[in-house]
Amino acid sequence: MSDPARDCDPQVLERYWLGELDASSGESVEEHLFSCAPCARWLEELAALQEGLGDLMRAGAVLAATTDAVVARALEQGLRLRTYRIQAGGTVHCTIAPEDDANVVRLCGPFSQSERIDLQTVRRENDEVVSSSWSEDVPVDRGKGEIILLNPGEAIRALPASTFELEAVAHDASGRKSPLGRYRLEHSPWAS
Amino acid sequence: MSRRSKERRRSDTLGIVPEAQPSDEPILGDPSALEDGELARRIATAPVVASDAEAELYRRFAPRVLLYGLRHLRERAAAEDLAQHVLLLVLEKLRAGAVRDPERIGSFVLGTARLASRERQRERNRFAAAADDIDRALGTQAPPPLQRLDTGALRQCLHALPERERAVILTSYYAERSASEVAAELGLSPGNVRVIRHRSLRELRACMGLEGAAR
Repeated sequence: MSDPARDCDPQVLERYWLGELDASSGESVEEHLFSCAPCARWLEELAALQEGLGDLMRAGAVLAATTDAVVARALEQGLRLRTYRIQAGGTVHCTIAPEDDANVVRLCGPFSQSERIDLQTVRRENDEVVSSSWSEDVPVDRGKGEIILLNPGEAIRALPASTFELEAVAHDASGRKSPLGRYRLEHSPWAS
Repeated sequence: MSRRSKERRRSDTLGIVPEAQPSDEPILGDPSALEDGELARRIATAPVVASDAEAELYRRFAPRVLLYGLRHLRERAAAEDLAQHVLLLVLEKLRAGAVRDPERIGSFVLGTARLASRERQRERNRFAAAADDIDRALGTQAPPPLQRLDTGALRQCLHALPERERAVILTSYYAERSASEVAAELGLSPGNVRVIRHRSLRELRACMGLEGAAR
């Protein structure tokens, strides 16, 4: 039996949409959806958002610190991802091909025990700093022990030869910071 | 309605779906203002095809069947075929006076969707012709049942989310992982993932100007 007070709860609709409810609760939500226009509308918008996220990913247009599941899904969908894995203190030479949709940079380090990790990114051209930014509380893939950075292909292709210096910094509960690793990427445009 | 006209109308629904004809139903007001049950009753009791009422029924329920199809079939084209097929069946049943309780039309549509979805899983591509049929039944090209968002705006809104929220949103809705799976990847509890997911979805919806009314 549908229970509008429960089934109009967006968190219940989210769980229904992601298949987290048992069969009986899912059927109850469906009964409700077919008699409640506002809830159906809310779920339509969620479906449209999900489809839009898929469109952005397929276009290689997303910039994110992400998870292995997202990378796996992108590969399943046939996206061309150019991947670099860097150990703390390491340097890699990198580029992006015209047919690549995105690149993936996997930073390896002692991340598993840190509650919060911030990441500083500095880009240089001819040793001059042209941009610097901090990403706060970046997600860490605990299974792999990596920070996984997804970068849009178009944005990387537009860059001249550049050096990226990344530094991962841990924050403990008292706010004290400690460096976890530095990484360097030497980017060259694709040589055709 | 005369018995003969009702029989003629019913006989039309037994074979190929009839071409929609201009309605000669009396002016009863805007169908969009009717409750679901009243709308279904108007279609069921109209002397000829009630085009406006049928289009309104389609507008209301096709998106819900599409959502049902997306949720269960996980494939946009299959879900669209299902929506067209189910609405066609429902309109035929209503026209034929075969819906016992028009007040519960929502449950009837859902039941039809459940049956058709199971059939579809047994027999793929069965509904491929339904899109043409529903266009013919409505006498016009049926609108797409689900809106598409401006991806430029969505990109900006996604990138405005904090890093952790963006990762949770993408892992949940792009990679289609449950809260437990996201939690395992990110070293969080499932409850914490649900809270972050809900909060970031609310932020994303607000940024996109989506104002659906579930509380």
